[in-house]
Order: sequence, then C-alpha cells, then structure tokens
Amino acid sequence: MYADFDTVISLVFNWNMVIVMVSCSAFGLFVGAVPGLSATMATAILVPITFFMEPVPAIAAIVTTAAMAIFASDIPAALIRIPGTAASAAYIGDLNALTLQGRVGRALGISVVASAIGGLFGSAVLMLAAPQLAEVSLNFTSFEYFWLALLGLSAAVMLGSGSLLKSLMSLLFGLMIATVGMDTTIGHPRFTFGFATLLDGVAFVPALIGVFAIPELVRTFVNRERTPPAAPVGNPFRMFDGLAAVLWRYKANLFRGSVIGTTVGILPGAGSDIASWISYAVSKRFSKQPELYGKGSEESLVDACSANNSALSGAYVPATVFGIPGDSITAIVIGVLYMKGLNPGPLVFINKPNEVMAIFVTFFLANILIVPFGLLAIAQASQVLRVPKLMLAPLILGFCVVGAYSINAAASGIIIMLVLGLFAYLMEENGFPVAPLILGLVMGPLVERNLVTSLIKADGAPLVFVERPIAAGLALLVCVVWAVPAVMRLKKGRMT
Amino acid sequence: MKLHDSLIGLLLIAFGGWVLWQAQSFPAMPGQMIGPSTFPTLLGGLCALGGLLLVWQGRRISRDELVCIHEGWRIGSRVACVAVAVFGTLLLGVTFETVGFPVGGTLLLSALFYAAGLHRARWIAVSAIFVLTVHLVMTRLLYVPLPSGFVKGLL
Repeated sequence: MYADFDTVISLVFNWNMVIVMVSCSAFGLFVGAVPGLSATMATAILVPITFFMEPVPAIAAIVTTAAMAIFASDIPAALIRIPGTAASAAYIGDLNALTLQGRVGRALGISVVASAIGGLFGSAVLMLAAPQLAEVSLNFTSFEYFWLALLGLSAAVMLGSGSLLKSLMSLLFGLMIATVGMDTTIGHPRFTFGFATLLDGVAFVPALIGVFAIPELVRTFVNRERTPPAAPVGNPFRMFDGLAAVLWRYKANLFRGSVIGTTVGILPGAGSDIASWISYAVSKRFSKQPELYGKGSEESLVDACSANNSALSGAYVPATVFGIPGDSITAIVIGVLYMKGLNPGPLVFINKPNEVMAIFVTFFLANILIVPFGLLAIAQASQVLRVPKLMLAPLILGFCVVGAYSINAAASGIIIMLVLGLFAYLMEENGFPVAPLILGLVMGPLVERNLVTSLIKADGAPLVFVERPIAAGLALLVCVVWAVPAVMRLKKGRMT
Repeated sequence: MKLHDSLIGLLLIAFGGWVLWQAQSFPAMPGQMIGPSTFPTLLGGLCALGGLLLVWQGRRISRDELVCIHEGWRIGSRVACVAVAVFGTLLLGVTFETVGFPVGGTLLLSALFYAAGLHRARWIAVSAIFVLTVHLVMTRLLYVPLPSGFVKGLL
C-alpha cells in the first residue's frame, strides 16, 4: 500500500473534518454518559447522516463517536454505579469504590488517559498489521474466504455471553434474514412475500437501528428505573495530579491491557466488553494485590480501560482486510464502507490507499481527542446524568424514524426497523444475544456466495475444501474453536 | 415477556420446517444441484435441529412457567406508552409520504411524551421544535428528501 502523504493530510486536516470530529465527540460523549444508551446505538443512529458525507469524514464520525462513547460510559459507572455501556461493567466496582473514597478525579483520570493510550496502541497495530494482512489475503480464493467467514461466525458464537445454543440460533436468524431478497446465483426472489421493497433484501441500516435502539426504548418505557443522584466531580483539571506516577508504576499493565484489548478486538465477534473482562481477569491473576480488586484498585483500571479502547481499533483489522466485523460497531462500519464504495477487502488497500490511510489517521486523532473532550465531559457529567432517559426516549425514536427512512428514502425502512426491533426485544428478553444476529446479517451474503462458489468448484469432492494450505489451516482453526469448549464442558461434567 | 425454552424450541422447529418447505420451491441452477435453495435449506435444517436441542434443554433444566411477564408489563400506563410507540410508529410508517415528517413526527412525539406521563404543553412545543429542526437539517443541509406532507407549501 503506497499512500500519497500530501493527499492523506489534505483528506484528514480540513475544516469539514474538524466540524465532524468535534460534533461527533460531543454526541458520543453524551450518549456514552447516559446509562442504557450504548455506543452501538449511537453509531447506528449516526449511519444515515454519514450517508451524505465523503468517505473519510463518514468513517471518522463513527470512529470518533464510538471511541468517545466507550470512554464516557466510565463516567456514570464512577458517579452513580451504572455503566453507560457494557464495556465498563468489568471494573465498575473499582471505579465506584474510588469515587466513594473521595478519589473520583483519580479514577476518571486513569480512565481517560488509559483509554487514550490503549486506543493509540490499537490504532498503531491497525496501521501496521492491516496492510501486511491484506497482502497475504490477496492469494485467498473462495475456499479460504468460506473458512475465514466460518471462523468469524464461530468465534462470535463462542465468545458471546450467555447460552451457546441461543447465540448460535441468533446467528442463524441473522443469516436467514440475509437470504431475503434476490439470490446471488440466478436472481430468484426468496422470502419476499410479494413485497417489491424486499427484493433488494432487508435494508441493513433500518435493521441495525431497529435491533439496537428499539429494544432499549421499549425497556425505557416499561422498566423506568430511577437514576440515583450523581456524586460530585470536583475540579476535573486536578485529575492529572499524581497521575503520571501511577501510570509509570503500572506501565506494564498499560502495555498488557492494550495488547489484550487489540488481540481480543481482532477476533471477530469479541468487542470492547469482552476485552475489558478478559484484561481485568488477567490483571487480577497476575497482580500483587488481588485483594484490592473490586474495592478501588487503580491497577485494574489501567488494565481494563486500556483494553476497552484498544479493542475498538483492533476490531477494524478483520473489518478492513476481510470485510469481517470484529464487533457490532465494525459491522456498522462495514455497511458504511460498502455504501461509500470503499468495499472492505485486500483490494481496497491497492485501489484506495489514500482513503484507507486517512481513515487510519482519524483513529489516532479520535483517541487523542479523548483527553480534552473527556475532561469537558467529566466536568459536565452531573448535568448529563440529570437528564432522565424517559424524556430522551421519544426524541431518540424520532431520530430512529428519520434514520430508517432516509437511507433509501423509503417508508418501508421504518416498518423494517420496527418489526426487527420488536423481534430483537423479544430475543433479548429470552436470553438470545442480538450481536450474532447482526453479524449473520452482515456476513450472510459473504458466507453464501463463497459456500456456493466452493461447492460448485468442488463438484462433489469435499476434500477440495481443505486442499490448499491456508484453507486447511483455517479449517483446523474452526475445528479447534468448536472442539475446545466442547472438551472443556465434557471435562467439567466429569469433574462435577 | 419470557417464554419457556421448550416453547421457543417448538417455535424454532416450526420455523425451520417452514424455511425447508419454502426452500424446496426455489429453482436450481441449470445443470447444477446447487442453487438458491442450498443455503436456506442448510439454515432451515440447523434451525429445526437447534429448536430440538432447545426443547430438550428446556425440559431438562427449567421447570418455569411457559410464559412469564415482566412486572412493568402489568402497569397499564407503561403498556400504553409502548403501544403508542409501536402503533404510532407503524401508523407513521404507513402514512409517512402523505402526512409527512413535520406533522406526523410532532404528533407521534407529543403522544409519546403524554403517554410517558409528561403532560405539560411544553412537551408539545419540544416535539414540534425537535421535529422541525431535524426536518430542516435533514432536508436543507443533508439533502435528505424527508416528505413534508401536509405542510409542503409552508416549509
């Protein structure tokens, strides 16, 4: 990949980008700081607006919003013990314990700086690893892509929280929804029930908005939990007092958290929340003071907060190189990349090197911006946390309606959003995670196309699927991903 | 609403069976066994199989009642709020092109605020200002053709 440095600079450093990144920072911080509104929901709502932007600002908008929302979720976790997004749940005990000890500045100071450092580390890995991987993947055929897609889907099912069977069923729903519309082989309409609007398939953006936003709105109307009053923040600019010494003491943790976060982020299906849980667990396992964990450990915060944001960048490696989403946010980004003609895959690094490099640079900028904007958000946190969700819910529904309509200028988008949203609510109520559904919806065409092509090439000889060395390696990996949990479960059964 | 796993399993078996049945009507590619039905057949089969496992697992592990309703769903005002959101959005979706976003959106949001217990007149104003601002931003700045409907001449 040979990018023209001047072009990259002109793509990134212009007034349009400044406006986009500043406004998306504010939006991401606001959504992340309101408990119950997720980073994924924030990005899903943003997609229809990105439709009318140039490719680089569009991706920058999503990256900035997600990075800010993931960090900002630590603010309510510290002040009212309710995480803004699932990513903060792992270390909520430590954040809140530090707040109760009167060290809220230290807790949020560690969070903001570790998040930024983790994010920068993940961005550096993305910038270095993605082009190398893209070169390797130029030799991939339908067999490799089929196994790779299967590996991604398998990892998503295995790493998701909750029942394995229900995760698998959720994935199947997503794959089935992806079969709606004209099939890719002979153009035969499938499961359209005579509706012309379904011939192009289920529109991705309305589906996304529905699946992530509608269940949260329904829960807001039905549950109506009262938010407890927030703890006072004090002077946010005193947060950095003594912080450098803490970070220097835990520099190895900072590095370890960033490495774990990036690695977990690269795995398809595993996002920031899983990264922070794993990083927290590893941190506790190797800590000299494990008894402090959950009671205000600064060490745990360094590990888990850096893992949070580095996972976000790591997830973009498979997304840009193979078009396989690392988490639900990158699933959204893949949709946007396709809309913008930057079709993810190895060829995008050859055909659009300047745009890809500019997008990578925006990752760095977004993570650097976390520090100043994070401080502002912390200063305004008490006001943000005072806004009841019930008052925001109708306005969010308004955004959802506009978003679902505007992508194709078709009212059918609103109906799709509503139907899938209610279905997702029922799924979540019954323990079916919705992230695999979105993964299935995104990857359905890729899996089907490569499966059908490979089956035709194989012509009844299944061994062709594993004849090529990379294909065989990937097939073996898929087997390992499925076999290890099964063996562990079997062992556990014997021991109990 | 929480359904018993075995009940969900039965629904999945039925759904998987329906997908398999539908898939049989899809034509094959000329000269090939593989075609538009290959992938749905695979998925339908897996869905039915997963349903069977869920029935077995549900009967083995849980003895809960078949349908369990969350506390919030027993409170009339909250159910009304969800009903306004769902049927209001559906109605707006069906009549979107005719009624338009400014009027339809304001009505939906005002009704929703009212159903959520926010009865003061200022919430109607909040709805109208929000909808008009979004409409103007989307149509004038982002060139999204949001329908103006009844107020076409005014905006």
